[in-house]
This record gives sequence, C-alpha cells and structure tokens, in this order.
Amino acid sequence: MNTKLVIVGLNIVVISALVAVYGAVTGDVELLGLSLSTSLIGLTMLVYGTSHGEVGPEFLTTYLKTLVESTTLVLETLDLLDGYACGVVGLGENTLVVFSKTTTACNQATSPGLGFVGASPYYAIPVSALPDVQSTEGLDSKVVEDALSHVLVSELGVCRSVKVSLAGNIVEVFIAGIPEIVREYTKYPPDPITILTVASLAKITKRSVLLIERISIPGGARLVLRLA
Amino acid sequence: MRGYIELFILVYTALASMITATIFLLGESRIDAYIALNILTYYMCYAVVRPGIRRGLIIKMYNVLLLVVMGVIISLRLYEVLIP
Repeated sequence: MNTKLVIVGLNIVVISALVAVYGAVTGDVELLGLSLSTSLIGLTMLVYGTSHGEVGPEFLTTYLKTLVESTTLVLETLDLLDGYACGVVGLGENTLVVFSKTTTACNQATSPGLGFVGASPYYAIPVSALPDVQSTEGLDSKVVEDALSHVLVSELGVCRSVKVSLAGNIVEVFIAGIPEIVREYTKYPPDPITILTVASLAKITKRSVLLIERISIPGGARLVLRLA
Repeated sequence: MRGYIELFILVYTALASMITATIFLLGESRIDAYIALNILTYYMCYAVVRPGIRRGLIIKMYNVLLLVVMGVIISLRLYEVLIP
C-alpha cells in the first residue's frame, strides 16, 4: 500500500463528496458535475494507492547492490566476466543460472555455487523464488510470451512489456519499460533482468537456455537465447 | 518519480483537472459529460503511460467498473439521439 497516495485520494474523495452534496442541495448541476469528476480522480488515487505495494525499497536497493557487487567480484576472480550465462532446470523446482567459460557446464552443472566441469570453473546461482509458472512442452511463441509476461510483468513488475519471437531453437526476448531503479543494475554481469529472464525461460520450457547475446536498448533489453 | 504508477497518477490528475476545469468554465451542465470525459482521460493516460501492475486485481476491477459506467453513459446518450 502506498500510504501517501491513499491519504491524498481519501481527502479528495471526502472533500469532493461534500461539495457534491452542497451542489445537489443548492441545485447547482455544474458544481455537482465538477465535484463528481474530482471524486473520480480521488477514487483512482485510492485504488492505485491500495493496490500498489512498496516494501522497504531503499533497504532492498542497498541489499541488491551489495549482492550484485559481491557476485561480480566472484565472477571477476573466476575470470567469468566474459563467459556464458545459461539457465538450467535443476533438481526439484530449483532453476540454476550458470556462469561459465564453456557451454558444457550448462549440461553438467547440477549444484549451486562454485564448481568445476573438467578444468573450467562455473558459478551457479540458484533461483528458487520464481513465481509459479505454467510450463509448456511444445514451443509456441505466444505461450512462452504469455508465461514470461506473467512472471516478469504481472508478478515481479520488473518491466512493462515482454515480446518473444521463436525461430527454431533461438528465442529472442524484447523487454521494454525497465524501471530506472532496476536499470542501474543491468550494467553488472549478474544483471537481474538477464538472470530472471534466463531462469524463467528455463523453467517455462523445461530446457537449458543459453544466453547468446544481450543488447541494451533504450529503456529495455533484447536477449537472444538458444534452447538446448 | 519512483515508477510508472506515480507517473500515471501525475499525468492523469493533471489532464483530468484541466479538462474538468475547462468544461466547468464553459458552463457545461450535463453531469454525465464530466464523468465521461474524466473516464476517457483515464483510459487515454492508461494507454499512453501503461503503468506496470503487480497483482493488480483491484485495478482490473476498477477498469471494468469505469468501462461499464462509460458504456451506460454512452448508451443513454445514443438512446436519446435515436429515440427522442
């Protein structure tokens, strides 16, 4: 709940209701129309204030920055900054996002954290907090788009719209309207948008997803991914 | 400005206030005109700003409610025109 918006909306509704009563009593229809219109503005604020939740955003921002920076340091130490990122559906409902120099880690990394496939290291981030999503067996761009949109727009509110196009095993995801507060973190290698998209796509398709390319576009991002 | 919801509220409030004040100063006496134009402004701002909504069941219901009100107003006006 956005308390400020609720208080302002409630005030506008109460005052305009009083003015509306006055207008109705005196027979001033213009004043009645004006007050009813104003009460609609107040009602809109009230509705948006009650449904829009903000839980300690400053704290979460600081916490996110700390985690992103520390993860970046780990990737830097492992020399994985220019490596691959892929999503793997792990054991149970967990999804892993794996950073590695080789693509073979996508198929072999099954445990979260730091590990090795042969001589090359990988760093796997478990993403267990994804919202429930309808997984699909067949590949249909509309179904994948709807499922991805449900996770990223409706549940997580991390962007305004998602477009998906499929060509064989190549998936192109256009993400638009990333809020400024999130955009700040997209410059780091463990970019939250990439991690969530890759993990969600892996969970939706129940297949390993390899990130081939990530291009920043104004206010959003374009991800090119390959399904295993 | 934190997000798109605040931006939407700002744009909608500014536009709706301006339109309401204008038709009030023009001496409009039909109450439904005030409400219909306000709802129209709401949908216009909604379409342009597209506020991202998290679990927005209340907002969806509110949108439907406004659409129904708008529909009733337009239907009554059409009825008046077609069957005077």
